[in-house]
Amino acid sequence: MELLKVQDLSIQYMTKEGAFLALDKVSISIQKGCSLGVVGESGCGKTTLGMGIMGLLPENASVCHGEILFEGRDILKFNQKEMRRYRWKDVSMIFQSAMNSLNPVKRVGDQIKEVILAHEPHMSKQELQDRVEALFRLVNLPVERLRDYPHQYSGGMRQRAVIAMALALNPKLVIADEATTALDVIIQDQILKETKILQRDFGLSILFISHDIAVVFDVSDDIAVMYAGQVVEIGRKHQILKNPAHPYTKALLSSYPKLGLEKERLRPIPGDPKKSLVYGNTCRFMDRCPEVDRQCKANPPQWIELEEGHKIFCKGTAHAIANS
Amino acid sequence: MNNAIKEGKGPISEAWKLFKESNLGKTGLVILLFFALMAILSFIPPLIDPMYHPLKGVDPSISVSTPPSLRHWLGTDFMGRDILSQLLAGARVAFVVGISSALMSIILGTLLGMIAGYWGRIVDTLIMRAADIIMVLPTLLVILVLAALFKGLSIWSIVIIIAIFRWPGVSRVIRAQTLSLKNRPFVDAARAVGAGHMRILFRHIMPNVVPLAFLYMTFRVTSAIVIEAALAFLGFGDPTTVSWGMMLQWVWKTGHMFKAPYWLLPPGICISLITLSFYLIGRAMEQVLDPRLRRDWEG
Amino acid sequence: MRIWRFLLRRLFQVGISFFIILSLLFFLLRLSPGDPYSKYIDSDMTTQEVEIIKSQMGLDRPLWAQYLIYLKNFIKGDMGISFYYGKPVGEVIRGKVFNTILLFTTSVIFSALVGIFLGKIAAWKRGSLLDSFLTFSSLVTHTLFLPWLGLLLIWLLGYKLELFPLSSMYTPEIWLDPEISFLRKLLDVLHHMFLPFLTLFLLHFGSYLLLMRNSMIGVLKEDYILTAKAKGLEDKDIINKHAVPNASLPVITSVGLSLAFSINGGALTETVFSWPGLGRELVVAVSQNDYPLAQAAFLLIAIVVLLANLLVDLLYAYLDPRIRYE
Repeated sequence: MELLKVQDLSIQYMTKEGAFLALDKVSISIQKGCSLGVVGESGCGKTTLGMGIMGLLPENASVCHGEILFEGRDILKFNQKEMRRYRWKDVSMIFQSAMNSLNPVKRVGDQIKEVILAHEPHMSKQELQDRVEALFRLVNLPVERLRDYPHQYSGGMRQRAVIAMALALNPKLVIADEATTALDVIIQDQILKETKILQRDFGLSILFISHDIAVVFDVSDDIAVMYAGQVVEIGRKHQILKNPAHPYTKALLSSYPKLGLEKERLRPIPGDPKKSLVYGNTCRFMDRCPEVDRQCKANPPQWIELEEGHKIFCKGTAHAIANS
Repeated sequence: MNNAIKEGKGPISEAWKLFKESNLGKTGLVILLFFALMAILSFIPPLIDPMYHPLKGVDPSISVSTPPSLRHWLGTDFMGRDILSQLLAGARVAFVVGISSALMSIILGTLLGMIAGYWGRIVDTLIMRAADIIMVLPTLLVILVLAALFKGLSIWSIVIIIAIFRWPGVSRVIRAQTLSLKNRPFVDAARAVGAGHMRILFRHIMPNVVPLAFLYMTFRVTSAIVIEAALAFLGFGDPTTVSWGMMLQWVWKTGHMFKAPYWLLPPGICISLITLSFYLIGRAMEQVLDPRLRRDWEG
Repeated sequence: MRIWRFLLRRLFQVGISFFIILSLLFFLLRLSPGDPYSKYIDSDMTTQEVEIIKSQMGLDRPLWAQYLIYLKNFIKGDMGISFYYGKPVGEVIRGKVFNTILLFTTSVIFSALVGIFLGKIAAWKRGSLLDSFLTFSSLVTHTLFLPWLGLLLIWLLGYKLELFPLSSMYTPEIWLDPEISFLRKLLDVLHHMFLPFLTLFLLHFGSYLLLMRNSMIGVLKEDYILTAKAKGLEDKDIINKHAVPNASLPVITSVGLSLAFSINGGALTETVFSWPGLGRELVVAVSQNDYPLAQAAFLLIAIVVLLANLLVDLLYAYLDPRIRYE
């Protein structure tokens, strides 16, 4: 059984201008011990997906379709108590700006202890201290710094502290939403390496959300590419790297410089993602797609399986044949 | 001016558009307009009959405080003077004091803020230190000490002194704005063409800074009115002007506090309401000035 | 230790500010119409006394010498004779300082605490009826004219309902009677203090409430609140342990900034309720043209405000670890 299975999830936001569909029948799944990277431009819905899995959707958001199954249980049907228990213990989250994830007026150590106590209230003070110190050692942070406040940490240290906090209850799944975006590349690299080690040692599953395709490729086993609220391509890392099929994926990959390969012209993806309130069934990438043709209007996109574990959401069969 | 607003030109019309969206702001404006009406009407009662004059008018048949009647809609004070006409006159005084004091503090604050922001260094430090100290001083109490020194103050000296206490708030904002404008290309261009400092300040920086100053004026008016009222209440106001504070002083000192609610209540309600209206307008202005506050405050 | 350096620096600033105020008064006195010494003497005094005062003020000496004498006198605590009381100013003022501090600090502290507490609730229940009610009442009470509110309270609660005394700080019969217990005397004072306290409280809690509400709304949008929710913490813990400590910081700053404004209200309240404090003394002195007393009362009030400001700054520095450490 998969650890996490999101099935045809649709989430909409109520805004002043009307209902906005942020996620449109999104399906992903993560196996135990594996990591899935979700990549896409800002506004494609990847953060909403992460929030939905954590049960942290804002008040004006509602799930209009689908289910989120964690170890077989639909978390959308949880009551308050079950949700509180699920949060952090089963799934924890690392946000983009680690700086702001930590309460500026509380000591870092206390903030980690707090979450442990919330779920295991009978722990003794000594056990608590030991556990927190162990967590810090895990992420290579000096134990003396537990008594410090967040502003006394450097950016990289804060990120590690947030990771330590995310691991505090030995969760089965960690969602990292743009976790390294705010860091400089060297630290980013270090943290990604350490994350992979932790994942391996603890059998963690990671849902890695980012707009930075290079980072996503670094950490993940599987990749899901999202555009305008839909998943457009999903597959194993090596499949997508070798054989990107969806025009958007191809565009994403080529808009990044690849070191060591022949010099390709960097091609930025033209246009902006438009937030349209009503899409219907037509392809959303049409306006910007370099491979668009007359068929696209006539044939709405469907799921096409290219090989085992690799499929895309695009127009007709001609496309699939051309690429396989 | 109206056409400019309708056509949506410039920062003032932008501000008006945003202001209109705030319910509280509109309420405040309505209340204010009501008081403006009162101020305008204040000229009428003495014209109807000299006994309605707020200060000197004496009803020949009444020489004590009486409750409301057909002749005197709000009753009379201890000397038989009509309370309603006093109330209307008080509205006029409130506007005069409030607006002139606010205007003066705006002018002073804008000038000093611009100078501080533009010249920087010593001038800046001096002006800002002075602003700091003034802000720490309790306005009312300092005016009291001045009243002791100068043996009484006329209404205009009160207005000027209040303005002197209010400029620091304005100057801070103007200074910040000036600092950000100082290094903009258009100022450099002016300098390259050989424009002197004065010219740059008044022809280039000031026009960009003045709309902001005016928007902040709403905050200044209300404190001037309240301080004048407090001074009058304590007995240090100008005895030749009838203000709401003065009315409260009379009702208090003549021992009518418990006996004449028709006299005690109206002036206090007026001062409070006009303060409220400026406060509401000020909050709506804040939303206009700071986009982050929009829509949040109305909840 | 960081805190000591901070304290010393602020004390130094207080000293400078006070020194400037002191000096300003000196120059103002000389700028005002009439001879400087005329404010210090009274028609009741004999020629001899006048001469003594003149030489005490050093009016025959150059200006800078006068200034030094002025400072020296102040430090010695000699601020002239009050005409109204016929006693040295120091004696008159001495007892009043405590009364002012008692009334003023309790009302400020209480209104800040209540403002923070209710503001927190208003923000959490934003948009609800309770929120609208709290916001509305804050707006209304905050804009009331203070002396008028005082008069209203005296009229309604003191006169009509006869629940509270109409003025002053204590009942002389109770205070002067050695048989009556201290507790009883204390209760008497509190009984007298209630109405002026209520006046100040009503006027000020509203602004703290609105500020706290806004602050909370901003804080509740922060990521660490989202993290706290993600951690599975209960709502009440999220509000009280995470949101409130952060949101109350600007409110505390505001308490410090508005002290000058609040003390105006303090003086007005003391006058309306005949509460024997510095503010009332100042008003009485001014109305009696008793300049030495007025000057002294004002200077003492200035010291109280400056020191209160300092205390608030200290409190803030203690509560905000970003200031306390680095």
